[in-house]
Amino acid sequence: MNPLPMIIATIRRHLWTYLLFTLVVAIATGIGVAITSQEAALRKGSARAADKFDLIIAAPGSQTDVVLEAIYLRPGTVPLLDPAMTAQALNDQRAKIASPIGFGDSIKGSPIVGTTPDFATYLSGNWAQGRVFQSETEAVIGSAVRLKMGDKFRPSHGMAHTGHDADDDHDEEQHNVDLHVVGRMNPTGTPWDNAVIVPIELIWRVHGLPTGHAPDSQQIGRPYDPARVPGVPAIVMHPDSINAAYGLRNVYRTPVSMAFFPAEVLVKLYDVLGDVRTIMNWLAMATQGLVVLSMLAGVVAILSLHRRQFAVLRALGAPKAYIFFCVWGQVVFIAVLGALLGLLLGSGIAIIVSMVFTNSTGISLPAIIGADEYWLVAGMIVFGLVAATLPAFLAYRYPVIESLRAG
Amino acid sequence: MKSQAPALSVRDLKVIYQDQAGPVTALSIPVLNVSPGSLLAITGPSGSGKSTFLYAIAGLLRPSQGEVTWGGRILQTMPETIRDHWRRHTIGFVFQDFHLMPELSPLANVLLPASFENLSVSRALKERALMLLEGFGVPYKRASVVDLSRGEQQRVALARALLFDPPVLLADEPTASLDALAGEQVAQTLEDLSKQEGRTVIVVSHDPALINRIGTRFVLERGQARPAASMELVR
Ligand SMILES: Nc1ncnc2c1ncn2[C@@H]1O[C@H](COP(=O)(O)OP(=O)(O)OP(=O)(O)O)[C@@H](O)[C@H]1O
Ligand SMILES: [Mg+2]
Repeated sequence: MNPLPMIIATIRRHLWTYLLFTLVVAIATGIGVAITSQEAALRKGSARAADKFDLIIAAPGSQTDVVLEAIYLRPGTVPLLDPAMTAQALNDQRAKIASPIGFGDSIKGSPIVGTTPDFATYLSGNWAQGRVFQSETEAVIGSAVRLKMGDKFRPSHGMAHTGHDADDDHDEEQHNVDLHVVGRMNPTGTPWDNAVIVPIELIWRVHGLPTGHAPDSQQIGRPYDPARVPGVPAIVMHPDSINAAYGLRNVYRTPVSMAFFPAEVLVKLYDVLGDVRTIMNWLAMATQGLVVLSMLAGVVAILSLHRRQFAVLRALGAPKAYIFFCVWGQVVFIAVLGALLGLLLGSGIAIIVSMVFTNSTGISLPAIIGADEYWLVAGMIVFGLVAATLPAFLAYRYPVIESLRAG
Repeated sequence: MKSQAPALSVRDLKVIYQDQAGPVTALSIPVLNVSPGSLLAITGPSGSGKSTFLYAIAGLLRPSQGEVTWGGRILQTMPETIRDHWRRHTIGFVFQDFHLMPELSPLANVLLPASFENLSVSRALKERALMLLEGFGVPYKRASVVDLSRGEQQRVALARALLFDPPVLLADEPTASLDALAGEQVAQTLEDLSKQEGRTVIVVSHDPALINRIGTRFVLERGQARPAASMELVR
């Protein structure tokens, strides 16, 4: 038995209606796919962006604010860490890398971030171009920054964010320092791709603060002179081992400082998101279910026009199963084609949303269609296969004679 | 024809419909025998049970009482799938309104019954379909049957009915939607199918041009066969 010719003929007869059904199924599936994929991408992307920020030390306050500011480079106003504590943390040998993160102005829409050569190198892995900065007049840029190697620029007037309104009485000379770009980082998929990274010493200097070293010293990076270290919004540490990380976290949990793993903050955030995700998943599934049901209602309406035709087929010797599969096949066609188109559509939406999101945050969202999305589409198809038995069974049960007489 | 036509025998047949007013006896035939190869016409006023009779002997409806036997096989006791197979290969059906699939070509329409049985159409069946269409003079290369004249469409329907070379052909008002000439051609074909090929052909019709060709007729009136409640119909 091969009901395909009949299925194709019927679909052709109602082509536009069936395409409309298919489109509706595709849109419902596509939205579901896009939502689940982007939700997963948001987790992955944001977690990956925080990957290299093992442990953060900051002044007591909101951990989320510190994460947003130090990792995602969102402008904020976290309080500065106590200078003595800053100095102790920066010089702490138990951390392989201990780097301040401080903020300057921006250039061509890219924030200027001060840190140490160690951390810049750690973030970049190896260098896409050039090398890390070695003096206060050198800078490196993230992969997406619109500057070129060798470009000169001036960390212009009034630094945007210093963590507090510093008494900006720094002199013009310091301001008129020309920086030039000596290295470009590999893409990291983090907001740092859009950052111009300079020595923290420069940030301190243009703000008229001590630079952590003797006044005439051009040194950058560790060790810092505890007497000359100003406060910073955050310090990021990269300890050797998990044990060391926990040890350091305990050390810097003091009345004047907090120490935390950004990953834990994200997990808490995802917990909240998780509930939303569950709700969204149910909503997406409910929408898809409704779409399939309304599509079924449409098919049933169309089928009632075909009762006579099915009766004729029976009179010509078609088995009841043939009628069943004629109808089943039509609905399955809509469900399968709709679901597959929905997968494409959903991927498309996900890619667009990712691009927009990456453009505005710097966090690269892997718009990956993964197991969850395939399951969603498979679920849609299975639901279609099962739901299709409904009108198929109705047609199967049509009494032949009454249908032959009808019309 | 691949098999000898089976003899039809109807015993004590009653088809009763439930109407609002109560049960309506649409058909009541105590005895009827039709020998193989007969050409038989049934006439009668509208609503007299002619179509009901055809559906009953084709095993498309379950009679309220009695049995229909073709070549010794009782339709009412056949399992449904066996009966479907039997119908495909034993009975060809032609309707007043052709009931072709407008989306399909003439050839695809004729071959449609093949899809009830197999995944793909055998070369032999395809050749048979082409032979039938050619034999009936249908311009079968048209993309769709709607491009054909009504007479041509009915001949496509005839070819479809004959695809599996059934020994029995049932036709319900086959010429009623045709003009005189096309009706004449179809009538001739039906006559040939019986007289030359030995098929049992049972035709329900009001069309004098068709009925007058057929020697054996009987009249249904309110479900009853006339003139006698029992008639022996032999060629
Ligand atoms: N499913 C049904 N329910 C109720 N009554 C029915 C049903 N099918 C047929 N009938 C009745 O049975 C009688 C016979 O109907 P049938 O269709 O066999 O007549 P017919 O001789 O073919 O008429 P026509 O020449 O108009 O085609 C009619 O009175 C009809 O109303
Ligand atoms: Mg009738």
